[in-house]
Amino acid sequence: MKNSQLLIAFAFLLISCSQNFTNTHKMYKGAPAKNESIGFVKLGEAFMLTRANWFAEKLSLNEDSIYKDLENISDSIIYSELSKQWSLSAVPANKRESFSRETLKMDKTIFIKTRLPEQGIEVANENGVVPNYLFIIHEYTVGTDFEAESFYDYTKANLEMTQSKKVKNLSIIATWTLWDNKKQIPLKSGIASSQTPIKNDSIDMNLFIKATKTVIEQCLKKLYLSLS
Amino acid sequence: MSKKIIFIAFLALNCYAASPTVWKDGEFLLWNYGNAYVAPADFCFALRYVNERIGNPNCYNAGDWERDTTVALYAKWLNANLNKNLKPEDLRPRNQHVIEKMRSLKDKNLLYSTIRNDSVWFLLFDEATIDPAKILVFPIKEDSTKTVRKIASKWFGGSPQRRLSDEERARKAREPDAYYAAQPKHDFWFGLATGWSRAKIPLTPNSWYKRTLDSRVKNYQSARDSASASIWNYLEDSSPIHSVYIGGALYNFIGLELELRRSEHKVKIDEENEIYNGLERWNFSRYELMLALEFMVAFIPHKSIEIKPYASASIVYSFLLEDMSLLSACDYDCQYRFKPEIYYRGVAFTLGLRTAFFENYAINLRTGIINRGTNKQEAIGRSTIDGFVSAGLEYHIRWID
Repeated sequence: MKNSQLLIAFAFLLISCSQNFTNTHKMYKGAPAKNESIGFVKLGEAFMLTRANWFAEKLSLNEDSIYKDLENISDSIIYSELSKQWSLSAVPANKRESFSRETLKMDKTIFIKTRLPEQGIEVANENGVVPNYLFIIHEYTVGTDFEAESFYDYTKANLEMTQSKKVKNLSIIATWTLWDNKKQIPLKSGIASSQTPIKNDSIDMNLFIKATKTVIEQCLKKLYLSLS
Repeated sequence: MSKKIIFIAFLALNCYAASPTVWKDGEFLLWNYGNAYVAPADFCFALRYVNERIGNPNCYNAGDWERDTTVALYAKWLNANLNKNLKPEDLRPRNQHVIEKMRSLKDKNLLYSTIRNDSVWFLLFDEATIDPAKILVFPIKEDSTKTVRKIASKWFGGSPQRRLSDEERARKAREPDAYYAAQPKHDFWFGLATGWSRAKIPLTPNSWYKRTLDSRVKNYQSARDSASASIWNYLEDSSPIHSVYIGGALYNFIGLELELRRSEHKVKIDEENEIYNGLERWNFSRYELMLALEFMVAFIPHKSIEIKPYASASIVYSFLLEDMSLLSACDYDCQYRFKPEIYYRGVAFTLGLRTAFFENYAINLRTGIINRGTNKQEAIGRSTIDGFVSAGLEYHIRWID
């Protein structure tokens, strides 16, 4: 049984791998080294939750604070996941306010909205130290049964889809950028998504944590993907 | 030595095909990040040294750019990111304020310079694009006078243009593009033309005309075949023609033209007949009023030249006015004097080529054949045919609706 679950997860992994929605800068020389100082910009307004009531009910959280709760949980899971890779520090979410909005092209029909720091400004972490790189998540969407294409591919957006009442997957989509904080250039950007199967229309916190870990795993996978 | 070669390759790499517009008496803003490498006076001197026609250039430090905090951040960013692997579009500013400032440069040349490691970079910006228009790199060790002269000759060595006033710039911005130029225009014109007309049409056999042309006025009653006689049995056919005309055309395709044409013809009297001895002059002036329906095609090989071949068919009304003076009192009201009809009616076919220069002025070359006559039995000139060539000068008024 566990094997079959793994198989499904692997199949989804393959599907999401087949579409390599990334944009790489000419100056990108590969993912930062293990001990590199990286600032993770906290989610803040990048966090988006659909079906809040459904999540509140299933996860037994207060409807009024579900946004803040899940945002904080996501922040801490992402932080701990990224800490495994680099020497990580957190950048407060309110720094996002000084970032400028821009559109970044991934593919012919795929565009993402980004929030990137200004040219010439180095962003400090919460301790006032300037990390060499920033890991910025522009949009982090949590919900059920949706595809990254219908969010970011304008040819597939606004298509009508049949909505089944039975929930199959917990979906998370993240658009992210690895930012060179010293030179202020977007080194690599991408779209990552995870689909975690839901059994019997019930989820618990473990499933949510697992889904979050999977989407970050996807981000890192794309980041480490060899430059071809 | 090898370093030098690398730098030469570097220069070649960074040199793009189109060179920037050089303005006479232009303004040059020197925008330095870090220590200034070139003094404004030196730069102006170099400009005048390499380009004698450049006039009186005005060079000064771009203090406004250096003091602006947001713009200064971009200058700092450029300094950190300049790299020979990057293209101009990789170096464009992101901040809206910087972009707006670039757009407001008008015809000023903005020259950014910064020293990085052991080389000095020069980036040229203009209002047309927010990317750097030109990039040059020199080793810092090189004599700065030499460097500046190289920049001046590479970017500003071309023939300078007059700077435009704000109104002229606005007009230029509204100037029609290629699509507008291709749009068919309506046209009104008036013109004057001169040419030659004669009865014999080129490439036709002489025998067709011989009898008509050889005939002389002796006796109206004795004129042979008078019922179908051509006017050319009585008058000299070959004559200069002069005309004035007005016309109009829609969509460079269909038009109408009204023309008044005048020619003078001597009466072909029989010199041997004594009865004409008392004549001083006996001429007819022919006036022809022609209304033509024209079809044309326009070709525009150059923006100030338009070539328009056309073909037209006209309705013609022809009038002959007699001009006779006598040496002595003779009676010509007898059988020796002939009287043409009050008017003749007919058609003309014309082929023409109209070449217009600078929209309004045109040369019109045309050739055609006219036949006019009358239905009256036994009248003079039942069918009179002649051909003509003419050249005209026209003034055109054009518009698009």
